[in-house]
Amino acid sequence: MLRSGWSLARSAQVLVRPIAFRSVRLYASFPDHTIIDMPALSPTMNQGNIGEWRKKIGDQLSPGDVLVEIETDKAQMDFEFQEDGYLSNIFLETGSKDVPVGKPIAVYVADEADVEAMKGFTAEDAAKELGQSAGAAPPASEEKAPEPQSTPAESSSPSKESSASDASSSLSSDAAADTTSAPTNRIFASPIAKMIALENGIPLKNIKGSGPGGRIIKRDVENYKPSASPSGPAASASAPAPAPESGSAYVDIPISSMRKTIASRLQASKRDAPHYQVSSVLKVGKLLKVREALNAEGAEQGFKLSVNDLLIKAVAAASLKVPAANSSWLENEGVIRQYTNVDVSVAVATPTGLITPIVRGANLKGLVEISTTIKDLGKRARDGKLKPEEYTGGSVTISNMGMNHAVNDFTAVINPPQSAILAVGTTIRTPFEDPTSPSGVTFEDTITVTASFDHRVVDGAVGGEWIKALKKVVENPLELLL
Amino acid sequence: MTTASNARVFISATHDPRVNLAIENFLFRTLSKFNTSHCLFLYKNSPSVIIGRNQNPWRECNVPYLESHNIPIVRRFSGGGTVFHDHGNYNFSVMMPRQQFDRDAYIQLLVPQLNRYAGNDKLFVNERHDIVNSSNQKVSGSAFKLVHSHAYAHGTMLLRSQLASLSQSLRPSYIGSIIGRGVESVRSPVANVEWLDDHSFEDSAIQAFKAFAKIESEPLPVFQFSSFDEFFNRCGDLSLRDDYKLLTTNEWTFNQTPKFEHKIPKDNGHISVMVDKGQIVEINDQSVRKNDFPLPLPYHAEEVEKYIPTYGPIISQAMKN
Repeated sequence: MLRSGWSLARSAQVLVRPIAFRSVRLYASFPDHTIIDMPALSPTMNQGNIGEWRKKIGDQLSPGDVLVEIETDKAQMDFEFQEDGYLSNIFLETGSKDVPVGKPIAVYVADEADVEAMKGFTAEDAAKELGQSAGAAPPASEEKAPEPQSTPAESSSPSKESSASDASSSLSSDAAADTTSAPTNRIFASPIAKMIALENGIPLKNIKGSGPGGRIIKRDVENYKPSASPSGPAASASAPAPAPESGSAYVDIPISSMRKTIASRLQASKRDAPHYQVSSVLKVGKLLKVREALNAEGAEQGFKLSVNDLLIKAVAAASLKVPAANSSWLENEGVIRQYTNVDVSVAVATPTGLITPIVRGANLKGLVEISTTIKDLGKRARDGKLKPEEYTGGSVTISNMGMNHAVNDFTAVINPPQSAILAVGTTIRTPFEDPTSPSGVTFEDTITVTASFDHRVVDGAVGGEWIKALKKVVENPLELLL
Repeated sequence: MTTASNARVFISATHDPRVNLAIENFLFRTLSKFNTSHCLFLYKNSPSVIIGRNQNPWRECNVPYLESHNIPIVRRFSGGGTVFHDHGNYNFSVMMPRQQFDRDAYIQLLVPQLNRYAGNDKLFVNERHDIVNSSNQKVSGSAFKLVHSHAYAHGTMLLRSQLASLSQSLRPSYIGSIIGRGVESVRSPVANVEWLDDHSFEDSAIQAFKAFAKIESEPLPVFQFSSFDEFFNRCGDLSLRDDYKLLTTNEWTFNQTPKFEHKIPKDNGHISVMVDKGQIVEINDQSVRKNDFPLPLPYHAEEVEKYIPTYGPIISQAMKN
């Protein structure tokens, strides 16, 4: 048995070596890195020319830094980077023309120390990682077909110090045991694929890899659709927790840059802005009727208003009446900036985290415009396709958990540098005293809203006035016309 | 919603192209600082050749001719191709919030205003965002720059430009071929708009701007200045001086050229001159192995002739024709 096992290992080794061994050196010796693609700097951009690189290899990258200049169709633009890291590779030199959107142009790493190690990483390597090259992958998978499928996986996946001899020894001991479908303990996937999978709670073992040697690559994870997909638009429960390996006490989820940003911003908000809350129970019977009446026209005209759309308009109206809530504390400039228009940030839960796309000038927009804007922004937020200017800024925020029936009310953290945020609970039938009713009570639909204010800008009584204005306009929705 | 205080017009009475480009850049960079939503800048330049941000001057214009006639070459901050400016050419720059950026929106409003002065020979906008006359000759070209918060579209208008000087200036002088990255100009036949003058152009540009910024019924502040110092003293921003200086340097004008190869033909093959950042970095002759040259050396006819043995005169000749 051992003898045949040995010969199996040797023949596997000979067959697999040209491809798999290169893979070992290729993927095992590069640290974790992220590939930067040619960005679409405008909605219609398909390709562009690379201009001056404003950062060189080894430079630190911070959000807002200009990485490289890009020209497309006579328009000169700066590619502003939004992540933290260090530039490790540049694939396309200044002057490269007609680079299609999505093509890898550079690489960055999280640690300065890793820049040196990324030296030999080429554009071809990047393309392979992203599964764009049609080169070595197909022949390898065909060649290994007669052999047990897991053999190449075994030889390429072990830790960084693997060498040919290690591969063969693992082959010789495991080859007999490993047959085609037995899952191995190691998941063979690229660092980016692993990161995305963990962030999105996607179990890697359910994914079939399309990279070289059956490796799971970024595209496989991005295209993965679980069979029972959770419904419900903004439900934050849609991302299941990563399945822990059997027997381990915890799972470590790498902190994504989005999580880092949310963490630091909200921590700073709580630290710097003295939060206090004001709540109110809003009777929404009339509001719901108005919505129903308007939506009766909606089917033909192609819109469907949600309660949230109406609340956004109400928040805008209240903010115009009490502009202190529509302001920013700008200590460095020595001012409290009161905005003329109300740009409402709308909290949207996406699989990767919380993001707040903005409905600009909500006070000026009609309900249908607000509704279509939200639908578009929300969809693109969940697809991760918002542009920075669509979620930075805003003068007040609304966070609506109304679709979660368990949430009566909640408090939200102010989005700096705004001064107010409205947290909206779910609709509940509430009894009210009614002398005219035979039972003495009538039931009405209510929503409990809780506004958090920054006491540096909005004093208690002022916060109360804002809630009063909001309640007035929600309970008498026709006042929105004024 | 734009109120009069958010839109401004600046008109320059000074004709140094570097001054005007530096001021344009300054106005653009400080839009947020001065709470300006829309800005129109009108200016004229004395004879000069303005190349796009990522262009190769040697490929786009006649460098030796311009040098000997004291016509400056200036590399601007926006993309696009090369243009010839002189006193018969009026330039406009429209600055707007990034969300409003559109290559055509302003010139679509400008053309009807201009056409009020036209007889039968009306102007219209073509698919390359150029303004052309009824014989399809180009009378205006445009280029753009976008940053995070704002964008500008700027362009020229040929009123009574010296077209002979234009042709001579924009006809490259080199022999052989220049192969390189860098944006290439798209050449078109050009013509002057004889029936417009400075006043009618200014008036049309401002009316179009008012429509563009949606401030038709409101007064619009118009600032005029006649020298760099006058503008500088009013705004007091040192970065304006820095921009001006940058535009005058060879470092910016020539050394920002993307890498290219100048292939000079000879009897049996060619000589290859590799130029990077405006300096010759390699000379290769097919039949003879590469010799020792004092490289890098500026890609400049006189320097090359002086310092490079044997090949110097050949290269210099190939540059000057």
